[in-house]
Amino acid sequence: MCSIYKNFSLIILSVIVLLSCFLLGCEDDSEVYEIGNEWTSPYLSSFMIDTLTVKTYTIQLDSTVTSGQSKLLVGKHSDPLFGKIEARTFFQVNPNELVIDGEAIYDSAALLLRYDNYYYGDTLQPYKLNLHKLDNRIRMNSETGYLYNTSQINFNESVVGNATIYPKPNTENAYVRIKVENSLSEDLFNYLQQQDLEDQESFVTHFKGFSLDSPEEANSIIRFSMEESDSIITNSGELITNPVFRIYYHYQSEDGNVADAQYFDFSLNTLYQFNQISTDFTGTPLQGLSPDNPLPSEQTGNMSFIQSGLGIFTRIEIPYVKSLYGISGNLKLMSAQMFLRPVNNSYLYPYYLPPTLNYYQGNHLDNLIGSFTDGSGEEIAIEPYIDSQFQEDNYFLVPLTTFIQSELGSDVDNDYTLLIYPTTYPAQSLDRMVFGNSDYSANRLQLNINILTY
Amino acid sequence: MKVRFYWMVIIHLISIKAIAQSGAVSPYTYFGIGATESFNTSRYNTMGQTGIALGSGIYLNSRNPASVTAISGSTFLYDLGVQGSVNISESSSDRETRVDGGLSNLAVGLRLNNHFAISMGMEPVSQSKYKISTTIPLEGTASDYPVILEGEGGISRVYSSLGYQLNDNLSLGGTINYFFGSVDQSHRINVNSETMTDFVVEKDNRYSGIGFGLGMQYRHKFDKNLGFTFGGILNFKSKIAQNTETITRTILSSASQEETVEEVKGNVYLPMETGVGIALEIGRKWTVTADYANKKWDKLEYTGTSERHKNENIFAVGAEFRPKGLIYQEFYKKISYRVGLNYSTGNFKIVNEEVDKASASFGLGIPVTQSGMTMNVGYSFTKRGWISDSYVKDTYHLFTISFSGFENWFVKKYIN
Repeated sequence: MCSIYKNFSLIILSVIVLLSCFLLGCEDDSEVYEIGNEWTSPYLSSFMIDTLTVKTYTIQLDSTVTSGQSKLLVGKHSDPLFGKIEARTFFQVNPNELVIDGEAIYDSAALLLRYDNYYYGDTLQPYKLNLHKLDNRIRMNSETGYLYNTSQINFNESVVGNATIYPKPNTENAYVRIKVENSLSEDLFNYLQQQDLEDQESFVTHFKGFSLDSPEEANSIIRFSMEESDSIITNSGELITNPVFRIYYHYQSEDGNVADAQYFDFSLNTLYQFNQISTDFTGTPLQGLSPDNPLPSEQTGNMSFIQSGLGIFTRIEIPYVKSLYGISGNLKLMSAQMFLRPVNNSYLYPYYLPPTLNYYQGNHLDNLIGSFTDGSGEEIAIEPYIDSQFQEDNYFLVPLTTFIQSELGSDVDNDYTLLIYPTTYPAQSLDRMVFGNSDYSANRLQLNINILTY
Repeated sequence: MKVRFYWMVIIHLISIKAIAQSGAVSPYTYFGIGATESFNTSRYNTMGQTGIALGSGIYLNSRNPASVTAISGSTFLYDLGVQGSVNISESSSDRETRVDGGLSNLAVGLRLNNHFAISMGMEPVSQSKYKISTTIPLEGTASDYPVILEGEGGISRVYSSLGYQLNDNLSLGGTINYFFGSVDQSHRINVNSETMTDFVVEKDNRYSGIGFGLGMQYRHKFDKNLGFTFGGILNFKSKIAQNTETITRTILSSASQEETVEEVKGNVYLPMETGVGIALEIGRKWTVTADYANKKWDKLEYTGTSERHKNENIFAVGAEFRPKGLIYQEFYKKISYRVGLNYSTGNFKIVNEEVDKASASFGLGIPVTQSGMTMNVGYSFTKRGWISDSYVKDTYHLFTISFSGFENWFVKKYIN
């Protein structure tokens, strides 16, 4: 009998063990109680801090790279904020073939340009273009391999071609024809007929290229593209694809009639091309600005400035990030973002807001030392938020979490800065922007930092 | 020997997963060390969690250490319970059902000599298990962040009670408790910024401490059919060392994590508890009892939660009916019927309101062997809180099964 009950006990105890294992296994963890925050007290608190000091400066780069961008910028524009801006382009041309048939008879020549979808200033006035011949070859800076908005190549003051146009940027099938003096182009024609050229180098030694500018203040700067675009056929049946320097010729027919016109093309060399851009700040808020003399926004009406073609950008300093630790040692940055607000009326016609802004990490020498990328590794380009109702609270929202995080996390005060550019840097354009600093009442710069303490 | 081997297996199993991990699942267990109750073995739990004035030669009673002197000379008593629960929490917007379960208690006891008897056991003291979704405001703005609060764990006690029987009427007892356990809490804020998705502060609290309790029972038989017992208990305020490991975890957008760990030592307290109870034995068929206990919570503070503690009053009544009386020789034919009510004022106020709790319990004691093992099945139904904007109503169904009994092991030795 003793063993019977012992066995029974064993069975019962086994049941308990199994049952308890079963019950332990049937926990249900998926549900969450939604409860108001009245009676819980998370050991987390979150704060939005918008009082951290932000200093802004307008900075000018020594120079900006303008070579190899496949954009020709030409014109003069008097900007109330950025002064008298002048743009002039330099380019080398290369014959598409090294030889012209000896029987061909020269007719005329023209430079054919294609508008880009960009201009700066007012395009309603007639616009003069002057073509000059280069005295010196376009040579890259031997150290950097680039040419800059400040680079200079000597050219002959005499005009070898000109046109007066009514600019039609953004117009399909629009092009510009600049008639080139026969003295110059017939000479080139003859040169290619007579010399038995073996390479382009020999040609470029003979003919160094063109410079194009606008002699009068038409108050606009227009841009021509060297990029491939849809072919157009002119009224006279002429085909234009890329911009070309074109010499027209014909052959003498045996019956004495004039035969069909033909042409010989010289391509614009995309590598040996650059834009010279300069300005005179006299009488503007930026008077005194130079690469050696950044202007704090306090000295420029609590505003700071950006202009891509002139290498003018804004430096932002946030010097006291570590003071956040004064709130709590147990601090976690959740997010940080900065509102850059363009100054009202600074982007009325003919001006406009840059379509996007880029921002970079800079050091005390204003050198770029890092960029900001999104999750897929692309540089972040910030589009403006447009206040469609009143047009008065437009802003660019700059994500700064990673920047503030690295400033908070670094052991030393590395005093990194933020450098704000229009995305079109380097200078293919003259996009501009003016925004208020933290004391500019109407369009205040605002840095919002969301932190957690625990 | 095989039986004892099984005991060791079970004890081992228990030590893997502490007893206190089972049971109450409720947002109300968010506070302090979790929800505390007067846990006991199954018979007393199903009699409305009474026991201050009860004693038994068959059922160990952990509520009053003086009760162990009811164990008769030649027996070894044991009690092992498992439980399963279904809790329905209803707020003004939600209704959640949760199922949970596990081992609930373990106790053994025996008489040492004419005067002394001891018992030992393990049972939960507090239980915490919740998952709460709430928000924290972003100060300085009108917006807020979602936060999920999660917690799990509890404190258990291993106790040893020694009872001393002065004479037929009066027994005194003392208990020494070793409190241990852990409550792991985490607060997860959903940030969703460019750099991180979540930030988690995890506090893993480990507890250990010693506590003491005293008890007395005075019995008086008016006649053959009417006995009266008065009981009293005093559990001293207990200091429990709290070792908190704070782990902050940043879940980065890249799905990787950054962690910091910090350790802080502190203390939590269990309140002083005083309780009195009376019980009547009517014939051999009826036991009726009533308890009152008071726990002095009001000066106790727990870090991390903001509830205001207040003193807790517990009222309990219970009864057991044995149709055929307590005749051991016919034991296997007998079923005991148990019923009880328990009301607690609760030990905290939320937004200035007490959250009280009432429960009703029913149980059966079913003999399963001739030798003295009883299977106790129990069901209790508890209501806590109510539905409103800030509160939750818990409806808590608890099912328990325990096996209690005795073995005449001293006698057996002679037989073997």
